[in-house]
Amino acid sequence: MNEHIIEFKNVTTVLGNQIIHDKINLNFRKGEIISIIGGSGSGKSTLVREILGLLQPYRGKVSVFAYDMAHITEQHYLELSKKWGILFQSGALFSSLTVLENIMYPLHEYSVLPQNALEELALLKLLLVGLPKSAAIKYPSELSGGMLKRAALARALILDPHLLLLDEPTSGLDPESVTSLDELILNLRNLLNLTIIMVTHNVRTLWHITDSVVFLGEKRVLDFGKVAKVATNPHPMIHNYFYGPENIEKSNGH
Amino acid sequence: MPTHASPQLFFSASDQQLHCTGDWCLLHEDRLHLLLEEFTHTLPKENIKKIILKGNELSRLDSVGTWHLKKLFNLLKSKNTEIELHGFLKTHEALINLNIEKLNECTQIPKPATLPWIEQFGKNTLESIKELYHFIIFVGEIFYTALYLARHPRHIQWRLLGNVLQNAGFYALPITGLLSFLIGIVLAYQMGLQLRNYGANVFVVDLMALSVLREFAPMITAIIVAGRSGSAFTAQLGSMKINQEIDALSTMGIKPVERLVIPRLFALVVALPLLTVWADALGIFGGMIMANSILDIKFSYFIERFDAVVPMRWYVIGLVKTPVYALLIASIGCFQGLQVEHNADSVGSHTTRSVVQAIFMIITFDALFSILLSWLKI
Repeated sequence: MNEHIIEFKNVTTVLGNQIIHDKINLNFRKGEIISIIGGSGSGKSTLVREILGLLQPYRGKVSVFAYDMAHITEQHYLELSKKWGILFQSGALFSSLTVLENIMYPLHEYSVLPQNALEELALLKLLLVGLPKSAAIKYPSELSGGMLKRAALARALILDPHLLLLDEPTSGLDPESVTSLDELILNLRNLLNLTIIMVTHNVRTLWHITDSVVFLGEKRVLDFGKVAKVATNPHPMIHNYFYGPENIEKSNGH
Repeated sequence: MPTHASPQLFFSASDQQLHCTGDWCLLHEDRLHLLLEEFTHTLPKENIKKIILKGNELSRLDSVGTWHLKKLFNLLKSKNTEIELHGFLKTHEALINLNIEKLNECTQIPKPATLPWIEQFGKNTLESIKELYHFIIFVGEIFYTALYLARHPRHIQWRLLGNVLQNAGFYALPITGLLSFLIGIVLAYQMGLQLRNYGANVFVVDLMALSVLREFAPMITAIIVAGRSGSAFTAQLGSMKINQEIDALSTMGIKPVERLVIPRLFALVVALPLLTVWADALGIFGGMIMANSILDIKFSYFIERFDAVVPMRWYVIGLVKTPVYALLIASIGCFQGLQVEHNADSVGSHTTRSVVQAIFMIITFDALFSILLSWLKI
């Protein structure tokens, strides 16, 4: 099962007048949990947006499930959108729908199942991500930050995607929620054989659940590999990231 | 990648085995539905003690598939049949175990409480009263802040004021001008047809001046501005509210009314009368063109008679109304913007309300002016 789900070939990204990525090459394997890390403005979210086809690189090629994202037809994109689930940074739940309706939304779009089946399946995902049943009839504005992320994750999971993209799934959460969300993500991968790509700032998440780490910096991929390997990279940016004053304590614990 | 195979459900009575094959997934949901129906009918009448569910040939399974499996399980369970899973892929079995138990908990879907109509009616009424109450407070706050700013002119937001003046005033010139011009043409045409029957062609000048200067130009302009700028105020303040910008201002000790509302209000009070003067001119000009072409009234004669018969009063009465309209439009627009709640629908519904309420109030106040003026015999 070593097939590549996502490939970046010599990808150069320009936003405004600024070069964000300069000839990046990356291959993501199926069934892995991959974290994209790096300082602010290193283009982590940009990378995710390129995978999603929301942003086209200036030069180079991004392929997802062997589709070239620059020349993808509408029909193929539709196929892709049933295969991936995305958790956006701020949740991006539809504010005018209840949580249950939000989770149901993609299924409702693609399915002719009776309403009660849709609701049951949505509720299933709601329980799966650890939300209480009572959250189903709430509106996104009535949820706390942690619940919002969970609800958005449930929506990302409703179509049983093969690929899950998480943009800062645990940012702004309390440590306990981070741990439980991490466990949830790990469980999902083990159970459903998902490929998970996430942007994260949480060092604990990195050590605990990720298989490989992509370190972005200086417009390129500074390192890509197992966390333990990347963490020993002497490059000052990477060293500071893992062993900066704030993180020494955390990483010593593991 | 496995090929798409249509799902099958096959029961062999000899060894009590039930075979699930193919893709049990979203793609084949209608087929799955049919399969279950068929199976229900073909199930033998006598009870089977135990069924072995074979999944060796199940190529794909997702949550939609497990939902159908759950239906199958429940059906068999209701007949006291035991089920044993056999030969499923590890991932499929994991998904089945994960989903089916939980799915049975999911049959009771929480529903939002719906109120009986009488309670809903009462709630709506209370809410309207509350909104009025808040609006009155808001108006009070505007007055208070305006007085404060009159004493501390240093705090006035000149930049925003100029900005609104440009957007709500200057950029509205073409549309108000054009519409007023067209209204002038229509009015002159309709009046002209009637007046010509009586040979009273020249009176078109008097009627045009009266209707355009006193009623149409101020009203049309106010309605356009309500639609253009009142709605913009609501949407601007509404999205600021959603973005917590209003909260940010308040916590800096800056009153949102002082910073955001007063400049808009003041700019509109300046802009609307000016726009009305412009609309007056173009409305009359439209009338002149029509009078010239269907009633043979030359431009020079039109202007001569206009000068002779039209009192200044009409023009002034028309203009006096406009600052009142401006206050209505800006205060309603800003008020509705600040009432927006944290969702996208709310911006839309409050923008609609802002425009509808503003136009409603404009026409109401116009009627009140007419009553007042007739009472004062002006």
